[in-house]
Amino acid sequence: MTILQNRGNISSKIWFICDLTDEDKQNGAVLSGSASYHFDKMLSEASLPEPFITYWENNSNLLNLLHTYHPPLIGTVGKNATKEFVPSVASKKKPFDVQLDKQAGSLLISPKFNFNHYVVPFWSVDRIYSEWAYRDIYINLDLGRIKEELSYYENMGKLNELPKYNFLLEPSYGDLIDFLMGCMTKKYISHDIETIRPTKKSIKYASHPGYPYIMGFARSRSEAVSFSYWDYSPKELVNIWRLCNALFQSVPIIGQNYFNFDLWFQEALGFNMNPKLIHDTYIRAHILWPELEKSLQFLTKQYTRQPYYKDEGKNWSPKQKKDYMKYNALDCVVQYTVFEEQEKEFNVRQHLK
Amino acid sequence: MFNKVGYEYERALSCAYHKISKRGIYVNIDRLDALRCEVINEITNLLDTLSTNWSRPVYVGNIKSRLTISGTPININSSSGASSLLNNLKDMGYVVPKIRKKNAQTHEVNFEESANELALRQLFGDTGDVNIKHVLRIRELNKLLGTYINAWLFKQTYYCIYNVAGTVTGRRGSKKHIFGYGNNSQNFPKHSELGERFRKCLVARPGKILFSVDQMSAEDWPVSALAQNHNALRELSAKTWPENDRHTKLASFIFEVPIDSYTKNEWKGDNQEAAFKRYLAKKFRHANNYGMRGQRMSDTLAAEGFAFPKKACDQLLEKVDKYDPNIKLIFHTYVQQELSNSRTLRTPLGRERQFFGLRPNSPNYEILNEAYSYIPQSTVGDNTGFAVLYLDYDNNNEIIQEGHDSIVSEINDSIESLEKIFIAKEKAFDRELVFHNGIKIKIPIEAELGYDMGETIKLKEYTIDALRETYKKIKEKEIKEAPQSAEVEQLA
Repeated sequence: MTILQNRGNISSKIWFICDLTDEDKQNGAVLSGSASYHFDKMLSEASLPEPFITYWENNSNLLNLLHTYHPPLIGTVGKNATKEFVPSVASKKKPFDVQLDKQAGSLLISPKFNFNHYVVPFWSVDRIYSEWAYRDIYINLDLGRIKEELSYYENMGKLNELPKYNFLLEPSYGDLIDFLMGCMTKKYISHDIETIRPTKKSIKYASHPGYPYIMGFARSRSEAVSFSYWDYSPKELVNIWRLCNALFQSVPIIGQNYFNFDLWFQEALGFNMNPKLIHDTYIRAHILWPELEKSLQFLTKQYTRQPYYKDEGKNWSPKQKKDYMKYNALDCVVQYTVFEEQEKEFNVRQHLK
Repeated sequence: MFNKVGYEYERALSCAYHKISKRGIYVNIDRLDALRCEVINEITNLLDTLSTNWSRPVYVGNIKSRLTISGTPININSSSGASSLLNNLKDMGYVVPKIRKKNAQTHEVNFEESANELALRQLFGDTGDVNIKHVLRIRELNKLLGTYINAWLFKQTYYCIYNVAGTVTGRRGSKKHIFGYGNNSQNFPKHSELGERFRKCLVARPGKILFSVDQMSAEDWPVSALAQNHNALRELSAKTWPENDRHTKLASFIFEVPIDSYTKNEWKGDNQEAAFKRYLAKKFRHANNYGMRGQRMSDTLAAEGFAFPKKACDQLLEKVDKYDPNIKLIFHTYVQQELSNSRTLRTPLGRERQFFGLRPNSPNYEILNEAYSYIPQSTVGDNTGFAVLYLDYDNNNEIIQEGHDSIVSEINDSIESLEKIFIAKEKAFDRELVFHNGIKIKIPIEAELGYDMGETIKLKEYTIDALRETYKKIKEKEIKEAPQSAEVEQLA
């Protein structure tokens, strides 16, 4: 077993654990050759201090080193490095791969470390050669995540906790009414719907648009409610729907891709929507960063500290209704956060407002 | 009212386009049904021919050949498996061309065998095999059928959803409605007999008439401004022929044919050879404006059915460059400098785009080509957007379709309503665009009237008199085409 050369400052608060390439094995050093030049340049452009760069494959001493030096921020560079330390993000289906297009930049926790840390997945450097446009995202968002966390750690002496939420899921009628009444006086609220669609077995699969099933509102970055459109008595539903209608008529609504999706369903159900009150984070992203993706998945990575979660909203059934409500509530608070962060950007780039 | 692009502008625009999306385009079901029968018939006939010639059953989607032939069936639209067109063409001995393809996963560019449109056009060009021509025709017909003719309607109306944030240039995108109705409304087929037949199915609702306005030589204006080509700007503003016919003048130059070899009408269509030269001049001008090079131009023309090898394209592009050197010297240089300084381009209406992916010490052709087209396309697209917003604020949002540089409104069938919308649209597009170099332009508009989107009459000029004259013509035509109903009315 050949021992490859690590590099950098072993006492650094930032470690990068890399997949090895054939070139690395030939050169006897991790992240060697042209990859080394590109990576160092990106670290410099991200204004990060010198990290420690090592590898995981056949590196029996790695865990000992990690538990000796306790780096709070650990970047896993490559799919396999990520899978090695955060196996929970690997796909449950063959080939059990890690999808870095979803996970890169997320704040994850490894079950292999018993000290406070975040693991942040990164693409291998060779991704940049084939898709140079990703370089800016790599530097400003992925490495930018590390930089932000490091800054907090150095100022506060500890890692910044992940966002905490206060979700009201499948609420009682009374709790729901209270929450919605509380929304009436807000400057803005975030709103999202989830639909239920025919399964693959159905003849209506891919042709029926589905029915709205779950609705959520957030009135801050952390507080949200999610409930089913249909789960209450008719008398209660009349009151709930009327209250929702009043909200749509009078309180500015934050949504994601709202004009292309949610608005149509709500109008079809008979709500008197007021499009002039809608703030669509998708449109805002289009003005601020037309070149970048505008999906909520990407905006979550760009503007929030919420780790990737969008897979939780796929392939669900009514048996997992409460999980789906949690996913819906998360969408609402994330949208709220994205909106406020975008607002900060508009305040700096006022000519785009 | 907004005078620059920003979030509040796009937010207001989303509200306006929501109304347009809800309105939809009314459809004449009888015409659509007749067109559908014809198209299916033609497809079936072609499938029969192919099945006979290839001695294999050929089908596309649900449409099969009527003949009973044994053998591995060929699915014209399948891209993999035993029934795929590609595998069967190879099996039958065709030498299938290799086409440039980017791997979605690795982003690497490779050359792969393909049976896509470009490959088939090249194959047809190489072999002259009429069966390949039939395959192309089947695909064209099937696309028309699947995308437009068979689009789901709701209450006899074709819907779509316009997406204000659908493109990086700021043009709107459009697609099938979220409830499954309709399809894209901005790319109705135009330059073909079938395309026109389909557009005739898109009609004004009873008691209404369609008034369409589009920006004349739309992108030529910002391109000429950016290239500081004052001659071109004069030509675009000229009222008489041939001064105002830039494409004919360019055709005359690059093909070395004196302008007076043909009359105005011959250049514009009456003479096939002249009209084709003019058409090519237009295409090559457009290609040169946006930095397209020989191979890509050759591929583009091949996709339209014209065989022009790379060398010939390079030579013609060189001639266009000689005719209009400011494009590269001034316009392209400006764009390159802006990208080098800030990686950002800004349009006269305030839209910004950052260009990531510029690789140092690399020609960056793909990105630069996108960058060259950005300001012209965005400017025209936003000019239309501002016009839509003006009409919406002015309570004149009876728009049923927007096509990037054009707007179609459906209004009450009366001269009073027409005059009202005529003035409104004139004001809606009355906008001075000031470029970074101080050049100011206003893109003129032209208009058409009609009861469907296929058969319209163009106004001779954008004046009230021309509008009245055209409306009179339309009414006379309507009466002529319905003599029986007129007699019945008289009797009544």
